[in-house]
Amino acid sequence: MIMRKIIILSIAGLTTFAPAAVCVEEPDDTTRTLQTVTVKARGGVRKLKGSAMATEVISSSELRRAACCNLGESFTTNPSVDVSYSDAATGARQIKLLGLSGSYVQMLTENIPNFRGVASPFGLGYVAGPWMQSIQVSKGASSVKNGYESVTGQINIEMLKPQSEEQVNLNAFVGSMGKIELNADGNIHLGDKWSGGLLGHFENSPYGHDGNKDGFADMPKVRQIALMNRWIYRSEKRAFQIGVKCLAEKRRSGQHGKHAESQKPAGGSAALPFAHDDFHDGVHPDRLYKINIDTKRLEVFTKNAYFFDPENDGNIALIISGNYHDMNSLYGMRQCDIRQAELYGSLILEKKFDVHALSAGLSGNFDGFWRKYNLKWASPDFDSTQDTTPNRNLTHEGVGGTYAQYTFSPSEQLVLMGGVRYDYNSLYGSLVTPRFHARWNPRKWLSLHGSAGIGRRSPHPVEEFHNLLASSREFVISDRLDMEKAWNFGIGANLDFKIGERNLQFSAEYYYTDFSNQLVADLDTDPHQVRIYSSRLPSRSHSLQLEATVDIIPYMTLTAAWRYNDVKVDYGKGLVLKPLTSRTKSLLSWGYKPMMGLWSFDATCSLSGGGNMPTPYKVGDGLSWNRTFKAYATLNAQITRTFRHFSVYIGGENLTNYRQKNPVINSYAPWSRDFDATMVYGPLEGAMAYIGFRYYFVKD
Amino acid sequence: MKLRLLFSGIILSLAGAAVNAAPADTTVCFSITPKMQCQKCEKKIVSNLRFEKGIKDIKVDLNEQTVSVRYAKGKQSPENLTKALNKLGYTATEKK
Repeated sequence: MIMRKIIILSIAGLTTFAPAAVCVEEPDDTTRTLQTVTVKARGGVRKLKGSAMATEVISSSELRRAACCNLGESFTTNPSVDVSYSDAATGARQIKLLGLSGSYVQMLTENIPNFRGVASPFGLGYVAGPWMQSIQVSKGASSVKNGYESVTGQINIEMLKPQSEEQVNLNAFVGSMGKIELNADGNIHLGDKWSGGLLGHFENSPYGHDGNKDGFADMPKVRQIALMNRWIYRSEKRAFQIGVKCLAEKRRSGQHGKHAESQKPAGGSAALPFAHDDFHDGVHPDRLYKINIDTKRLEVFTKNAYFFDPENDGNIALIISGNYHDMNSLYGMRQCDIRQAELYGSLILEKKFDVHALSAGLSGNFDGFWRKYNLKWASPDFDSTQDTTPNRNLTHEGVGGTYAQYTFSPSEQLVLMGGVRYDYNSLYGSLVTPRFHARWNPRKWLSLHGSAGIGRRSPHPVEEFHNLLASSREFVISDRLDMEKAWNFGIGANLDFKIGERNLQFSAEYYYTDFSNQLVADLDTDPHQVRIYSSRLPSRSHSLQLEATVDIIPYMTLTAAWRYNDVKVDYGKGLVLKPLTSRTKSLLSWGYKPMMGLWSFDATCSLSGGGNMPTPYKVGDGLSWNRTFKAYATLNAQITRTFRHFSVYIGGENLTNYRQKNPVINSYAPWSRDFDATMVYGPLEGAMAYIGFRYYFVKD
Repeated sequence: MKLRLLFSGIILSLAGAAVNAAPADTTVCFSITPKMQCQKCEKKIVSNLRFEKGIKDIKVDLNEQTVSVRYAKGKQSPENLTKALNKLGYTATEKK
């Protein structure tokens, strides 16, 4: 019974619409309650054993074990998800799940697809940490309800709920590198049925970061402001929600002024065709290589649900969302301006029939792209005959689809779930996407799960790889790009033991991803090019993860995890290890919350294994960069003291002070053909300390 | 190396402090009305009561509808705890 409830709720994407009479999710834990059923995951990462899918829940208390300024920093203590910088200039972060790029993970905000296309390179910075109530990470083939785009899994973000107890929260954060953050949120109840929430975020990194003092910023100056407002109506039979979120961000990176003199051309400087802001006191600004990225983003969504049979989870729901993303970017003399408009709608019907549950629905998605870009390499040293005229184009893609998903759960020991969806894509035609999940709990202490399914993605090379413009690489994009398609298979086991008074949880998971068509960004074949094309050559990933969590003494938990990735791709010369991908990762995370959580001590150490670098080029007798990179360790730690209405936390990130040496290749001559800021495998910043303050007031 | 030593020291000292519970602690158990419904009620009690002076541990039993509080003798009393629970909207009766 419990499992069936969980499945219905988690899959429905309507957890926000739980009937008004029941308990709602608490900010400090992840509780789902429907009538008499409560499933609780107290603090930390918990694997949902009642769900057919392999889902981990990162609760708010887990998020608070580190600074977690934004979504990208929320996986520090999580062994499943890797987050790393995409390049050494823009501050773009990328997720890796099952060893594969984050573009294969479907990002959802409260079960609505989000951060697609042009938003994907910087999307992890668009959700403030204090705004999040929890994060659900589903590995492997996911539900067919949210579309066909998930290949390696889904990450769903649950935001703070207006219907929780009325409260006001404030958060301030200061880092030793000058970064400041301010967050505020509050909610209000208007009568029994209406509630509203307002969330605000401001961050400013005013100094950038140049760790190796080469005159080229490894990390950009960033200024971001974001606001979100939403209102929810809930009654016993109906629920309605409307929300809006807006965001504005500026990123400034590139050269400092002190190297400008050395680059002054003999015949005087050529003016750049685009306006620059002065990066460093305006010394020869037209000669400095600068990276400017300005973003404006608007999200609007509404959810409507009618519970026609609450006893059997019968409901019909309509979800509509629209996003508008406007990005203007400049990498030296290469311009890339993109506007993307998205419209998404989903109509869902669900009902349970004893041990059977059915979910069916219709969905539609429209993406429109306006592009103005010049991907050709250019230098101000060239004469005026070089072609810097940007290309302009307008493309759009529409998808309409229908799905059905059936769940059979004859007992608490067994859940079987199968789904299939049919979509018609205006560019790629008819698409059929089947997915299957099974969970068997033969013993109270043992849970086994398996999954198989297809995932697909439309290629958007300019939107997804524009941060590779932070190099002199020539972009060679194939004229014909096909839709990506991959099968994903996964199996896993969770074991819960009780040793005396102590709990020991152990899990083992293996996932295999096999691409039959993949969008390849080949940095390997030619070190002065990025070749982007669709490949039907073999490409696959094996990922094995072992994880153990033990309560050492009361309130003290230790998690140890180890993962092995074998990710190989064929660039036309046989399978090779995918560059810039660590083969192993080990993680040790320790947490202690004595005095009923008034104090909290947390430390996480991770060891990322070595891997291959893309093929280097020759520089004199040497190479532009090493052919491989070695393993490196990072350590994060935080101490938190909680008082009745506020808490103070102090911590450090990357306390091992490991950082990649010279991450910007040929940084002294960024207008040359050898400049490259994309050869990044590890941390760019050294040790960093921070202090933060949280104030919370909950109305009685 | 210094960092390793520092963190090892923190872990060992905290572990020692937690294991060696003070012998002067006293535990009192209250029956609670109205009925505590779910983890929300448990969280409300624990998250508020923990800030009272001298509190060492709180255990809420939803099946038995009881709240057990371990506190430092001389720093806290059952009477004060009863008042604190009253403020949260519960009537607490000490179980002997």
